[in-house]
Amino acid sequence: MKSHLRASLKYFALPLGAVLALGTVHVRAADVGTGAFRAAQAIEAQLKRGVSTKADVQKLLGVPNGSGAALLPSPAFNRERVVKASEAGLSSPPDFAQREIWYYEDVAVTDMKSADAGYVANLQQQILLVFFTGDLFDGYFWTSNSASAQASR
Amino acid sequence: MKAGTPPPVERLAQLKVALSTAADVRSALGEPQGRGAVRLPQTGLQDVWLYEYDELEGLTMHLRMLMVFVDRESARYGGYMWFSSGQLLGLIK
Repeated sequence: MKSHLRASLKYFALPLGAVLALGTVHVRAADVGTGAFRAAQAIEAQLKRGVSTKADVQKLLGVPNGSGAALLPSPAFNRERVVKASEAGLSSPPDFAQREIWYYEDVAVTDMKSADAGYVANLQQQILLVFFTGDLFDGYFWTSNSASAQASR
Repeated sequence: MKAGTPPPVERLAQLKVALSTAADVRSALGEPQGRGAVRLPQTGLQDVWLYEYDELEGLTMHLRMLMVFVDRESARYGGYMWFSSGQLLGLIK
């Protein structure tokens, strides 16, 4: 799959840092990356929503590269329920709980070569967000361009 | 090298789902650096306001990203998702 780097910048959550790193990498003429996380394909078989724990996730995927939180939009989020909760002295309805996120990322820049337009390189990226409610696994979001995307500018 | 400003996730607590307006979001978090849209299962169309910060410090790459959802129809705050990381780049072969 060939694509211009300008286009790949639009890719979900592609860290600009990775792109900035390209310059550094170019000077070193070496292949660099964050190190791959493994077993993303095994999530469906080995993790169960509401049953698997953070320990189970770490055992399967390793220590996360980062963390975060999410309160994703829901049809339950409506003004009437919020007002009713407020009148009951609550900051929000009880089911408006935020989910904790564990963030995994794998970026690899390989085969950097000079080109007329600047440089050409293989940029491979995987991003995995794992959602938790309390200590329990509650879902995930995984993307990968591991089909050897080529970047250039 | 740095790009953007760290997303002010600590100010999310100022916002109330389904009550806060788009103007409230802008007042609390500032002007977003990017925009998008999403329609999640069973939900209406949401505008996505993107806040991002990237930093390369030596071979350590820092990323902080905040996505704020604003319901297109009601123009009310609908939720958020943020994550951050600090990763060491190294030789891979």
